[in-house]
Formats: sequence, C-alpha cells, structure tokens
Amino acid sequence: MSNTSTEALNRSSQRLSHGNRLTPARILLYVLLVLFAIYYLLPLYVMLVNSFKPLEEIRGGDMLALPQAWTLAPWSSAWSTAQIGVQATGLKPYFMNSIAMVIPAVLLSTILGALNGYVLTKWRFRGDGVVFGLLLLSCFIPFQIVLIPMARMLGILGLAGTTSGLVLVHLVYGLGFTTLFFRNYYAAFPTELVRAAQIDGAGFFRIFSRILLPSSGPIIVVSVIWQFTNIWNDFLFGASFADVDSVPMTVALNNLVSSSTGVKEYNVHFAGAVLAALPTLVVYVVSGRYFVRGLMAGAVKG
Amino acid sequence: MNKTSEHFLEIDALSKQFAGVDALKNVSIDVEEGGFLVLIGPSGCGKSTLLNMLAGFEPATSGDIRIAGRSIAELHPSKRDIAMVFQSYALYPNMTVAGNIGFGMETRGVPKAERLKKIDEVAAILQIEPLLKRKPAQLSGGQRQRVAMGRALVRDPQAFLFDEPLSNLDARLRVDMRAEIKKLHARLGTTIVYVTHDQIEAMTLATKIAVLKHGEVQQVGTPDDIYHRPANTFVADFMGSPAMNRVTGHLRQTDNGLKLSFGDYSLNLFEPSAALQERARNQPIIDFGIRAENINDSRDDAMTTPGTSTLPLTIELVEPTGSDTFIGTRDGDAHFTARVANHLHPRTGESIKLNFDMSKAHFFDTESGVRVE
Repeated sequence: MSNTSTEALNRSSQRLSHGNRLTPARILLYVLLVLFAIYYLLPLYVMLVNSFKPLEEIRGGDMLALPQAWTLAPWSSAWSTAQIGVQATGLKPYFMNSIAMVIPAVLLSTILGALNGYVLTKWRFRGDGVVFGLLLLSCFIPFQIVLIPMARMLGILGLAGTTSGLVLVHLVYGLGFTTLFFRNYYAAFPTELVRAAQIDGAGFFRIFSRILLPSSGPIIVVSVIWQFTNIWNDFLFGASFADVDSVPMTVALNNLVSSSTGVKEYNVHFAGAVLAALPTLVVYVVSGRYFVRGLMAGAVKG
Repeated sequence: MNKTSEHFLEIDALSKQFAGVDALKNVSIDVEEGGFLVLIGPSGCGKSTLLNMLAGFEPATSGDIRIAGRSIAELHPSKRDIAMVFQSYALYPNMTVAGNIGFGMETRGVPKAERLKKIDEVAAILQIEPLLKRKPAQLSGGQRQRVAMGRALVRDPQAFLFDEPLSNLDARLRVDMRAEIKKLHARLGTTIVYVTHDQIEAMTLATKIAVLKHGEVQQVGTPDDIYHRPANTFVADFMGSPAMNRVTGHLRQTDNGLKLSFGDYSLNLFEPSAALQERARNQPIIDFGIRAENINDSRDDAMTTPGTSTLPLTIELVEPTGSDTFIGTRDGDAHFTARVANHLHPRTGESIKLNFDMSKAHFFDTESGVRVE
C-alpha cells in the first residue's frame, strides 16, 4: 500500500529535480533555508562547544568560540560525579531510571493502542464510536488536572514513588494517542483481508499478529517515536510522582542545574542537557524517515 | 438427478435488515449440486449482502441457509466449508503466494509437507508455479486473481463464493479470466455462487441467474429463461445489450387478426396467446418489447417468416460494431434499435423497412410491469 505511494513520490520528486534550473527565486529559497537551519542549530552548537570547554573559558565570555583547550571532564562529571540534589552521583542512575520507565511504557502503550485500533475498526460493536470518542478526549485533558487524583490512585495501588507507577501514568496518558494512530491506520486497512483470514480459520489474535501487525510498520514507528519523546521528556509527572530511586532524567537535570551549592558549572550543565536529549535524538535519527510517512498514511486515508 | 442434488445450496426465505431498512426481503433461491448461480442486479440491490450472508460475515435477520441439507446460517465463516474470492482479491500483502494459498491449512494445523504438496497441486492447475515465492505486490492483476482463486481452490470446499472477481481487470483480461473460470468450473464441478453487475458474465457463466432489485428477487432462471422470457420489465431492461426496445401500445382485434398499434404504426400479431386476446378485449393498453436482434432490415431477410411484420422507419443513428451494425430509428414515439448486417451499409437519414419478428415479441402489463403471455 504505502510502498507504491512512496515510489510514486520518489519518481515525481526525481522528475522535479531534473527540470530545475538555479533561478534567482530558488537561490533566495536556499539562502533562507540555510539561514533558518543556522538559527535552529545555533543552540545545539552553543551547548556542544561549551560542554567541551573548561569553566574558565566560558567565564571568559565568548559563548560562540570553539574551545581553546578541549576537555571531556564536564561530560564525565555530568555522567558520574556531579552533585544532583544532595548526592554526588552524576546523571547515570537517573538515566537508567528513565530507561526503565520509558521502555515498558512505550511498548505497552503501543501494543494496547494497536489492539484498540484493531477492535475499533475490524471488530465493531455497539457504542464503539463513544468508546473511541472518550479515548480521544483523554488526549486533551491537561496534565495538571489529574495530578492529585492520580497521586491518590497510585497510593491506593501501592505504586506511589515507583517506576511502575510512572509507567502506569504514562501508559494511561499515552493510550489515547496510540489508539488514535492505530485506529486511523487500520480504518484504511482492507476489511476484506480480515474476512479472508476469517474464512481461512484465523481467530482474533492470529488475524492481528499475522495479517495486521506485519503491515503496521510505519504506524508502529510513529507511535514509538511519539510515545518515547513524550515520556522521556516528561517533567511534571516525574517531578510529582517519582521517589528518590525512580527520579527520571529530566528531573535530575533540573536538580543538577539548580543545585545551589558552589559555583555554577555551566560546562557540566551543557553536557548534562545534551545527555538528557540524546536518546530522543537517536530514536529520530534511526527511524525518523518512517515518522512522516506513517503520519501521512494515517492522516490521508483515515 | 435425485432430490438432494437439485437442492444442494438452499437459500430459504432469507431477510436482512440494517437499522430498520430492508436490505434483503424474503429471498429464496435453490442451486443444484455443481451449479453456477449468478446474482446480478444494480448497485444496492442486495447481491453483495446476500453473498456476505452466505459467507457468514453478516447474520441473517430471518431465514435459513443450507448446504447439502445442513443449516450453516449460525456457523462461523471458517466452519461453513465455503471458500471466497474477493473483489479486491484480499491477498495477504506480507506473505508470499505460497504463504497466501497455504494460510488456511496452516491455521488448521495441516503438516507442512502436506501443505506444500497441495499448494503445488493448486499452483499447477492455475499455472502459477513460477510465482509461488513472490509477494502479491510483485504480481499483475491477472496473476493476483489466479492466486486468489488458488487460495479458494486449495480448500476443496462445498461451494465457492465469487464477489465481482473480474471487475478490477482490464477488458481483455476480463474475457480471458471469464473463460478460465468457466473451464475451472467444468473441471472441478463445485457449486459456485457468483456476484456481478455484468450481464455478459452472468449469461456466459451461469447455469442459473437470480436478478435482484431493492433486496427482492425479480426472477430466478436459466440464462435462456432470463433472456428470452423475462418475468417483468426490470429484468427485460436489465439483461441484454443493447437494451430491449420497449413501447406502450394498444391491442386491437381486426378482421386480419390481432394488431398492436402505437402512434401511426401497427404490427400484426400472429398466433396470439389466449392471454393477449383476453387483454385486447378488456385492457388493451400494454407494454410491448422486442430485442434488437429480432428487428431486421427487410432487404436482408431472405425468407420472410410468417411471424414477421414490417414497418417503414427513418434511420437516426448508425453504430457499427464490426460484426453487426446497430441502427437507431425514431419516428414520433416509435424509437427502435435494430441489428442489421454490415454489408447493407445503412446511412443516417435513410428510410428503411424493418421486419419485426413478432414471434419473439414480449408483452408486459403497463401498471405492474409483469410479463403477459
């Protein structure tokens, strides 16, 4: 399905690039694009160059200059020895906390979202529209509203302050989005295929795992990227519900930067911030090209 | 034929309502064992709904479906011992051709060696052996069609269901595949129910045609019945190309026998049935119909048969098709399409004498549209 459409896209873009000359309008376009690229990349550049400088060089004033004496010390400090809150552990244990939270939360919300989408499109039932509407509504509930009820719920479930508790919170919050993604994607999935599989004797889960899932690559990527980015970058839930041994990376980064003792080690802060942003960056680089494709497929056909 | 095989697949008083709207009304059709039933009708007539109910995708509101005397109406699609070929072919895109054909056996736990053997057998029948390792996306439309048939064939079912299987093929391929389906049916002898809106497919393939409209059966019969003795004006208009010529006329008893007049014209009826003579006395207004091939150029009619009546008309339109030429005439209300031989080279505006073979005439009640004979 999506293969043929991307091929068509590729072909048409090739045709376009063949016929193009370097007209003044086109030059202006490129200049603008380069300017915007610089504008967006500048903060990253500042973070990177300053994370490799000794602190004195930063105090010297020129934020944009390349390091005169390159050093990896800020990185190792941010990773393993910097003062986070009251302890000098570096960001490493919190990085692991985030990993332990984000992986199950992403996997569970994606799998459940896929199952929801499958049921809502291929096993329609009375009132399925209402169920979908309510799930969609959860996408629009502001975080702040649920903080106190959620804290109470986690307490009742005995999950307060644990990584499992955070996984549950993110799972519940992500389910609306992942259901939306998969429902729209599967709405365009031919029902005749499901019927053919039914005649072939396949049941509910076999049709899902053998017929739908193998064709769901693009939308799985969308769901994983979306969920990973949101959960990894979440601060509010982490700050509200995490205990000492479940604090995620984002909260730890804040603690690192706002530690009030001693001098502000900007180079360590920069290194820590890059470390905190790295996983989402990696996910985008690895699977980003499927992201737009998957979103388009869902949007256009849904 | 014994009694059970004449009623092999029985559709018994089947009804279906969607949200209070009747999609099917009390439909009853029987198919003999090894028969080829074609369901035909315009869009929204209920033919696809009926097929989906046979397959088990839609529950019936009332009525029953039996195969070889066993009711299947309550069974899951996989338990009905039927196989279906879908309009879109519905090939599993992530599996190879062999995987597609073998998936049903896989879910039923057939051992791999046996599976491969049956896949090879079916592939040989359909001549798709070289394609077995390919994915559906790498196949042409005709090849996909064959694979879809292979998936149905491999089950060796009691009945095949075809849902407009040829509608996605180009014209040439459609004719080829139509012939292949017919040969396959002759070879396998399995009962087939086939949905189409193409009357040529219906005529060429069927042993029995059911014409549907608004969820109601208009007529069930052999292709000959449907074509030569349409039960009402809907069937008469729907089947046949070009469409049957129809005009409302007036029956009149004269000294020279029964005549049908319309506008300034009148045609002689030879050996009219008792029903027509009765109509002439009591209810002389009637719908008259005649097919294009039963109107001929008088120059070409070597022997003017006793059943023929002649009218002088003016040619309005000439449509050569290669083998024949269709001419359209119009004089006042009398609008007829006639099939004439090519070599006569009819020209627009020309006057022509047309012979109407009144032994092939059809009459319908003007009010109800029901056939009168």
